[in-house]
Amino acid sequence: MLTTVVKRECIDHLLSLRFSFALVLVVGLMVLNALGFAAGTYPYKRDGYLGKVQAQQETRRTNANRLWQLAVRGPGDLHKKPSKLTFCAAGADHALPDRIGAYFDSKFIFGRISIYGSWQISFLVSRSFQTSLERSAQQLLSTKSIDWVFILGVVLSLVALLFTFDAIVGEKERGTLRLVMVQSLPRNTLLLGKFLGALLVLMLVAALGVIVNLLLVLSLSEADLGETEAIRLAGMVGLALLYLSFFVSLGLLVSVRSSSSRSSLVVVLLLWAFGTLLWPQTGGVLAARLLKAQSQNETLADMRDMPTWGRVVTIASGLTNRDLRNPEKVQVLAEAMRAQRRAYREVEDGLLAAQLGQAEFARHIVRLSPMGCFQYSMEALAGTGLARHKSLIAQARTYAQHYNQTIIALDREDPESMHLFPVAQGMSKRKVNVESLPIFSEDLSATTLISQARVDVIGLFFFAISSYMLAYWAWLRSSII
Amino acid sequence: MIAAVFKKELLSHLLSQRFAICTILAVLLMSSNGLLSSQNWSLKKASYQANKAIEAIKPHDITYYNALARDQSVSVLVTGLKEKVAPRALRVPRPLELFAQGDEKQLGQAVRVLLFEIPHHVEEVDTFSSDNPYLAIFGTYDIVYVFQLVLGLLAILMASESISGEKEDGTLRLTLTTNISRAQVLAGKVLGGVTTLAIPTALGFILLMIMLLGTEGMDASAADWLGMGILFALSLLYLTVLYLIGLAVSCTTDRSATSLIYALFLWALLVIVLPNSIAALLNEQVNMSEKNDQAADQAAQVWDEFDQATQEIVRAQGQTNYPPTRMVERVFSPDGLVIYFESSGPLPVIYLNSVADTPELATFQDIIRSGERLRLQYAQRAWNAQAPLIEDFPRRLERLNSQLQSLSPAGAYAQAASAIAGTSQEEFYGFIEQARDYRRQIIAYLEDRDAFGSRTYFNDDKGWEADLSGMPRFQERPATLYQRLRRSLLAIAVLLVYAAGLFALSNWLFARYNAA
Repeated sequence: MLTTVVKRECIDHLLSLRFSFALVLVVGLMVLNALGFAAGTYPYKRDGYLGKVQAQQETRRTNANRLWQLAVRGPGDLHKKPSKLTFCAAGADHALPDRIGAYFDSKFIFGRISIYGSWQISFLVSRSFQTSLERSAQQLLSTKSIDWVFILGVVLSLVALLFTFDAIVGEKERGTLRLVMVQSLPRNTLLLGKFLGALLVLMLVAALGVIVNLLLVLSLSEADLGETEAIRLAGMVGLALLYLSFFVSLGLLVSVRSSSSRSSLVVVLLLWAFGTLLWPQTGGVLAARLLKAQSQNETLADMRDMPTWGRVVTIASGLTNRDLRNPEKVQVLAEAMRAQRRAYREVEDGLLAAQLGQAEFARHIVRLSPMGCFQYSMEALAGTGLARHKSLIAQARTYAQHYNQTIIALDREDPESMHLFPVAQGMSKRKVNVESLPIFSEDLSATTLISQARVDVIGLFFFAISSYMLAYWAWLRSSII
Repeated sequence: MIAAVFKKELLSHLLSQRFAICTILAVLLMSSNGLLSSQNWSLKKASYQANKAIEAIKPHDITYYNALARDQSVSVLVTGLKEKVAPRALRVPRPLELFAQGDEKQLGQAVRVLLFEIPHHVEEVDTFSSDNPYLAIFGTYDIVYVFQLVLGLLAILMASESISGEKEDGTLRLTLTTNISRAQVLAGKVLGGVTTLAIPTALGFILLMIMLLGTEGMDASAADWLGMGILFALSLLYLTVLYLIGLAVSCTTDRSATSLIYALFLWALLVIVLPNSIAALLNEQVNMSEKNDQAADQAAQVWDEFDQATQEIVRAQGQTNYPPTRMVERVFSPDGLVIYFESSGPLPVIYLNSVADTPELATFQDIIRSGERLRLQYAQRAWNAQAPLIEDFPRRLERLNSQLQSLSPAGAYAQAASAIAGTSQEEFYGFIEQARDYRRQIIAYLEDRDAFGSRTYFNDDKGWEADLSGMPRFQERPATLYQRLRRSLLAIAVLLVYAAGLFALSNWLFARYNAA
């Protein structure tokens, strides 16, 4: 019985005007997307990334090979590897830094001595853009994209609603529904048949679009998609299936409850416009108003006169170059500098936590719409967006600790050193093999990325199942005349 | 006779369910959006005023001229130096931003005005009036978007059934049997439709006016209120165009269900897909990081040349480095910090604390005078090398974008609205131009007092402090309504052409329409 209904529904949809429109629209957009990506900036970004990482290794090898120098300069900026899958989910990456800044202050001259501020990792966005110039020019450009999230999430969800808004109410109007129900067809079978029929045709449209898109991307662009990318792309199609099934059920629900197909259409269209276009754009503004985060400008202003830094200045100003050979005096300076590092870390981590907390709150608001869940899970799979950036931050933090621990361990091995990290004069002057220091490499395995999308995938399941159950419940209670 | 058709159309639209639903939703969206943006605007205005107060005090704090070349970010790192930095030019918040955000979200509210840099560096890109940079990843919408989307949908839905639907009901034949000409029927329908659409539009604008009046710190001028009137007419023009699109579609089909689908896809294409695709495709071509890298290289080259040029100046005096700080005798000061000196291209920090008054100091000042004047010239040269890459190029693309956007009615509407509201790119570049003018004023002011050759340029020992209280201040002059209107003319013309063309098309189609 079910197969007959599904077959009938499929054929009805396939022969309809909306199917051909949808096909043209989706495939056309997918072609545009692939062409845009192929002619786009990925190769430059990838080469830039590789170049910077290599240049960093080179400088480390040639410039700084004494241990104290490595302790002062640190590993250099930690770069974010550009994602190959930006054409699937752009994820507003233009607004996020492409690196974690690891800067070192230059020499400070205090009266008679000069000291070096040791390297610090900084998560502040303002310090993580290479040049302020880069940021200002990027902001002048508007920020729209036609990635898969847009094509599947916005356009195809509209198509899903157009397929189902008159599924029940239209048949009611034409009188065919009574005819169908006469044939002792269980109600749930009819609904499931309609659901599966619409979903199958939608997935056909999506699949055609995706295939055309991938063929073009593979043949035209320089991004070579490997096995991991294939798994991710498959995951994305799965997400699209879940997401679209929500809209199919929503269309059925409205169709069951409506008195005429005209009003059903208006209702689904407005629901769609609100859920996919308007609501996701309110997250930021609502979060900014509802959850106050500490101000970055004020925090930075406070950082300028930290008491711990004042102590470093006082101690350093009283020292002479001879004092710097006296372990006891250097010990005092080292403690003050360590306290300054800790205090700085604390303030910055607090600020970062507040900022990310606010952004995450905004994402939670957006997630109230299925579009939000879809977008964020797609971004997680594509390795873009805030989820990726947060994972970069976490990994950079671990790496920074690891780097300093390695430096301290190497310093211990030198008997001539005073072992007073982070004072340059109190550390080993030995040459070190730079290969023995850890190199930053981001863990981008599928499992880490999917774990970030957990909430969103659960949300999508919730939306899909609950909307179908609602439609089913309404359908059982509706009159068919 | 038109009156009869008009009345009938008006009544049937007004009583329809979709009119009620769309109007309610539009009003709800507009009021919630208006409330949030009015709050945002107040915060923006407050921060503008706070920043303006800071800018007013700044010159009084500056005790040596070289501080005018210094950027905030430098002084953060150079701890121990007092916070003395160059002024910033501030942008006045535009009252009509409440209606049309335009590019406001991407544009900064301030630009730094340094001595040796042509102002271009945008600051205070405060998304949602919060300085959390991570919020920049979230989008936002304005009332123009609600008009584009929700009321645009209503317009196209209303019209798409008005011919084919009446044919199905059989009322069309009935209407045409009376002695009303077809053209009159169509005109009546258009008038009825537009009048219906004027109701939610007027509601929206009344709401907006209430918001505007209730916004804290709002100082809308008469021109702004007039601008709002123009925006009302513009919104109605946009809805008319969408209504006419629906009407033309309706005249080509026999069944209302078919015309509905056609109209919907056209709506999705024109309002959502096309504006998005144009911007996205252009953005994908903009490799700003490449341009930035190239520009940085170009500028670095110019500043290398500058270093060589200054070498020649100092060599003539038998010195090796510029500035020849060895010439200046310094007294150790009890502050701990004795000298901070760094001469890096456009952001030099030349500050000598506790200078001894020796005969050589005069020569040193002469060298600094010619060196810094040279630096001014090289700043212009560096910008000339950078500008094509980091300003002209994105600006050209942005203009191309707005021209292409104007091809679709929704895009044309958004472009015209942001131009009138004063939130367009053009307006922003007007502000940057004014900031550049301001920098020239500061330089003229400094040259007037021979600042580059004075000791106060690099030193603020007792008795040598600079007095900058008479320095020119920056006050932005937003474009007048006339100028803003002129910027929107192209987009308005496109909308008018659409309206006229579509009306003619519908007339032509309807004359051939088989009403039976």
